[in-house]
Parts: sequence; C-alpha cells; structure tokens
Amino acid sequence: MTPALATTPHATAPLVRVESLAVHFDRGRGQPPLRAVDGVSFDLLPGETLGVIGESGSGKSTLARVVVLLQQPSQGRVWLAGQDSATLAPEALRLARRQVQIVFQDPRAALNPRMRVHRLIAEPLRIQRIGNAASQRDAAVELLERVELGADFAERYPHQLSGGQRQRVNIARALAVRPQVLVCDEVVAALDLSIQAGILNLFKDLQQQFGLTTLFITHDLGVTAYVSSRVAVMYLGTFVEVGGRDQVIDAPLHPYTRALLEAAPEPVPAARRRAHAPLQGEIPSPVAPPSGCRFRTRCPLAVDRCAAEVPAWRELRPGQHVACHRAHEALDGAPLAQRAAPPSASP
Amino acid sequence: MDAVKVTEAAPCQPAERAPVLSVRGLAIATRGGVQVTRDVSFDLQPGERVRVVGESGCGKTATGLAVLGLLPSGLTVAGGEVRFHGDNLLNLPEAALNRIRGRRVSMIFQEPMSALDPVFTIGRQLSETLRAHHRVGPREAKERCIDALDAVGIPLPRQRYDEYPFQLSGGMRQRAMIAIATICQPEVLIADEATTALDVTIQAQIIELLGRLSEQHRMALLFISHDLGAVASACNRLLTMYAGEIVEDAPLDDALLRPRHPYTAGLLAAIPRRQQGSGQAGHRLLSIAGRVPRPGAMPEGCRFAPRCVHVQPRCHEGPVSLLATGRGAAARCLRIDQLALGGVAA
Repeated sequence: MTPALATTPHATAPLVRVESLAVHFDRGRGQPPLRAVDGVSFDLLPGETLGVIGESGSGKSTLARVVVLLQQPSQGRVWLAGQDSATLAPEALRLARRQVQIVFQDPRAALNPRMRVHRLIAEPLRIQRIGNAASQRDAAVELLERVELGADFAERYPHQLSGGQRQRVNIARALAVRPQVLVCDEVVAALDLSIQAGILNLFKDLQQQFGLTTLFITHDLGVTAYVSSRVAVMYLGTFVEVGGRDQVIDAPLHPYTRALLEAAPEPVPAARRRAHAPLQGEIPSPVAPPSGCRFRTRCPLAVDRCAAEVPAWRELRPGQHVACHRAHEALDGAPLAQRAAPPSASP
Repeated sequence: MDAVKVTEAAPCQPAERAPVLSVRGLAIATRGGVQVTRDVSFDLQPGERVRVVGESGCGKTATGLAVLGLLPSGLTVAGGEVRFHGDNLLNLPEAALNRIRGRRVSMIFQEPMSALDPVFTIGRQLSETLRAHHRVGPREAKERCIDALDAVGIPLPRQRYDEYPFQLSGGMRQRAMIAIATICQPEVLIADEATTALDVTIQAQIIELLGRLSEQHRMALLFISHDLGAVASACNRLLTMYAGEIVEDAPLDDALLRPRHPYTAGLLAAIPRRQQGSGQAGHRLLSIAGRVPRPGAMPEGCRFAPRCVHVQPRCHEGPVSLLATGRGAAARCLRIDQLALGGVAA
C-alpha cells in the first residue's frame, strides 16, 4: 500500500477531494491487473490550478477521467463539493457532472465532425436540460466570444477549423455548464508553439473570468510552470512530490522531479549545459511496479532501503510534500549524482 | 566500386571549408505547380549539427525528404541543387542514389512504429540495411547489428535482435530506428521530429545519443522539429523556416539570444518557460497572431508580413531575400538593421 498524502487542514473546503485512489484495469484470467493509478490523494482548493506532470504511462489521464467521473475507481473515494461520488444516484450524478468538465488532448477527436460549432458547444446544455433551444444557441455564441473566436464560427463544422480553433471550441463547450472545476488533459500537446501560447493565455483569462479551479495535466514542465499555482509530480501511478509552484519548479526535492527538470528542454544557452547525464532507463510496467519506491530502478540516489520500504510522505518545507527516503539531502544541496552505469545497460 | 559519377563542377561556395551537404535554391512544388518551398539554401559541414524550426506547414519535412529524393508523389523538385560532396543528388540515377541513401545520407522519422516494418524482426531490418550496402556474411552481419543495437543503448541487444517492433517501447523503437539509420555510419543524418512523440527524459536520452554519434563519426545532423525548446542542446546552428522559405540562418546561441528575424523572435517568446515568475497571474506568453499561409496563397512581399508586429508598408512591396547579418548569419527581413528583437533571457 502506498501511504496517502497527508491532507493538511484548509481554511476553505476543497472542491474536489481524492482519497487513496486506485484504478486497476483487469487484464483477463490469471493476469495481474494493470495498476494505472495506485494510491493517490489530494485536495483541489477553490481558485487554485493544480498542475500534474509525469511521463506517459504514469496514470495522469486515468486520474483525470476519475475526477470527472468518467472512470470508476477500484479503491478510494472522490468527493465533489463534499459529496462522495460513489454514493450518488444516477440523477444526482448527472447534476454533479455540471461541476466538473474536461478538455481532452486531441481537439479533432473530441468534436463530432457532423455537428456545427454552435450545436457542439450547446450540447452539454441540452444534456443538462438548461434553457431552451434559443437560449442555448445564444449561450454558444456568447461562449464563442469568450474564447476569442466570435459568432462567425457558429455555423462552421470542425473540419473548417484549425487545430487551435478546434481546441477553443472544446474549451467553450467545457465551460457551457459553468463548471466550478475544469480538468485539462494535455490540452496543448497537439498544438504548434505559437498556437499553444494563445491557448495558454486564454486559459489564464478564463480562469479569472469564470473563477475556475483547474486540474491541469501535462508532460510539459514549461506549461506546468506557466499555468499552475501548485504542482504534483506523478510517477507510475503515484504522486512523488506535491508543493507550491515555486517550490516544486525552483527547489524540487524528489530525485525524479529534479531529473525531469534537468531533462526539460531549455532554450537558454547557459541553462542547456547539463550538470549530469540524463535520467537512464524507462518507466517500468504498471503491471509489475517495483517494490518499495517505484522510482528506485531509475533513481541515481537509490539505496537498499528504497527497495525494501515504501517511502512515507514527508512535509520537508511548509506545503511541500515528498515521498523519498533521501529527499532531505536535497535540502542541504546534495547533488543528484548519477550512478556510474545504469543497472539495465549491456550485460 | 562505389565511385559516384561527378556530374558537375565543384560547388560554387568558396572552398575554405568543404560542406558535406550543400543545398542551393531548392524549390519544391506540387504536381499542379503550386510552390511549397522556395530558395532554400544551406550547407552542412562534417560533424555540424543544425536545427530546423518552424510551425507545421512551413516546408521543413518536405525539404528533408527532397534531400534524399523521397518526396511523396504529390510533390516534386521544381529547381535547385542538393550537392553531396559536390554531386547533385537530384540528377543522380536511382541506382547511384540508392548507394548513397541509407549508407552515406540517412533519415529517421517521428513515428518509429510506422517507419519500422511490423512483420520483420528488428535484427532482420537492421541486417537488411547493412547487407544492402556492404558485402558481409550473415554471421558477421548479425554481430555488427547487435553491436549497433548496443551502441544506441538498447539493453540486452542479443535478445532484442530477434524481437519484433511491437515488443519494444516507444523510446526503444526510436533507438532501433537510429541503429538502422546509422549502421552504415552515414555522413549526414536527417532527423525529422525524431523526439517529438517521446517523454522528456527519453527525449533527453535520444538527443544525447544523437549528439554522441555525431561527435564519434563526424556525422552531420539536420534536426527538424517544430518545437524550439527541444533539442537545442544538441545543435550549433539554427535554421528558421517560414512559409516555405528559410527566414533566418544563424549560430544557435546568437539566434536564441539575439534573433534577427521577427518570426524567430516570435517563436521564442511563445515558449512557456519555468523561469522569470512565469506562474504569476500577470505574466503572458506572446503568441503570433494568424497562421502560416497555405501554398498557393502566399503574400506578395515578405511572407511573414501579415503576422509581423514590426511590419511597414514596404514589407508588402516585393519578395525579400536573405540578407547577411554578419558572422555567417542571415535573415530574410528588410528591417534587420532597425529592429532590436528580444531573444530568450539568460
């Protein structure tokens, strides 16, 4: 069992509370399950943007789907505004979905190619039975203005839009039911840099205008740093570090976070000179995660204890939690020394 | 044996350094005659590593494919030269080109799963390349292939040799692709979005690998990517492409710190970065308004003018040529002497 992240008492009640969440996918007779998410706890507080970073296969998207109630947890609970989502009757569940909306990575796949833009945006209103046909259309046009597309786009089809425009339609649709919480799953990963910048700026504007609370999932550290107020680092189904944006980005404590930051592409000539060789190896299979600390097979600091003992969560700086036996060494400025040779290299 | 016929005189460049690859005035068009790229010229010195950046649809991939004579059927070379050690690859008969492709000039692609053949083992695809170019017996070929897999950092290469592409992870597939592309120790490697689909830690490993291979064998590297933040570390020169033209060609650090073309500067300003309090509510990224014009609908004058914040009436008057900015650099902008553009702050 991975220990749950200690949740500190908050002045305000969280909009979303995730408690010891696990999602295991059945792989058929006799096969061990795939542990996509394996013991994640966190609170999403009103007004904050929690950025979740991690590599492919770390369980980020599964986590997103659980929060918007598209995926049933195997263990643990998801509380939405104080309600345990598992106890909701179908009608209450439909209403609860108004509070949490999601925008996906692929803006094309997320839009029905046979529907016009205004119908796409108004669809959540129809499903939630909010207003009538005329007011739904008006709302769609208003949302098109808010995402800086304008009423001209209302009659178009998705194939008539560029990738960035499609993603703006997806955002408008997610906002149609005025959710309190927006979950963004790699929403700019498929876009060109210049388009991405426009979408990220729009996000910041909309967050303010709509008073949104956001769970922002991305593999891109620069994007996380730009949008987040708090950052969680995910590795192989678990969080390994959670803290304020400046703490995690500027003074990371977990060796995985530190390695990610070092690997992240930086255009600045001085920052490019890497102190160490890049992190070796690949993320292990979530079917058979390593014992003890899951990062230990790639960790330059791993010692025997890391294989034997699951690291407990420790709050090493106020608000900065980390699950690593040796994280305190980073407080004293110990370097992230690379082992001489990766364990899996040539025989 | 592999004497390639010299078709024309030595390259026109002053021969203080002999480029391994020299592209001159390359123009690509659709079969219908619509221009895709125009006046693309650059040199690759032995061991040099050049980044090509630009948004989707700027002609980066088409340029890479044209160098190897691999343009898809809808596109054709409408003019220019691609000189490899002085020979114009565009005029070589297919048989001569086949002796160069995969052996002396090689290419890797973004999606290793679609570039690898799913029904053949990794070993078979490697040895196929090796034995197409060199007389080696099956046993020696196998050993050299296993060495090649080892050289690109694939663990248990002897076992991987007999595996199929689906049995490898994305990062391992890309390593296998690199092993295939470099097993003949090419002098030029064109990498088209080779790390785009990979995670950052894997991306860093692949970039380090390519840099190491380039250093060990003086292999020139043409690194095509739409993402300016990525792979900067492995390169020493930056080519910016916009709407089918090279708009800036400069040493990498110069281009990053003091870009001379507004498009390069615009791309740099759009990168979300973790420094400079980028998390603050007031901080905004600069995006480039509008989008890349389509082939066939190019603006009359400077092609970037409709999106440029520094535009003046004269920018619309006629095509702009690449203007020297000193230090072997050039930019396609009429206002190079007037603009002080911001790069990435150190």
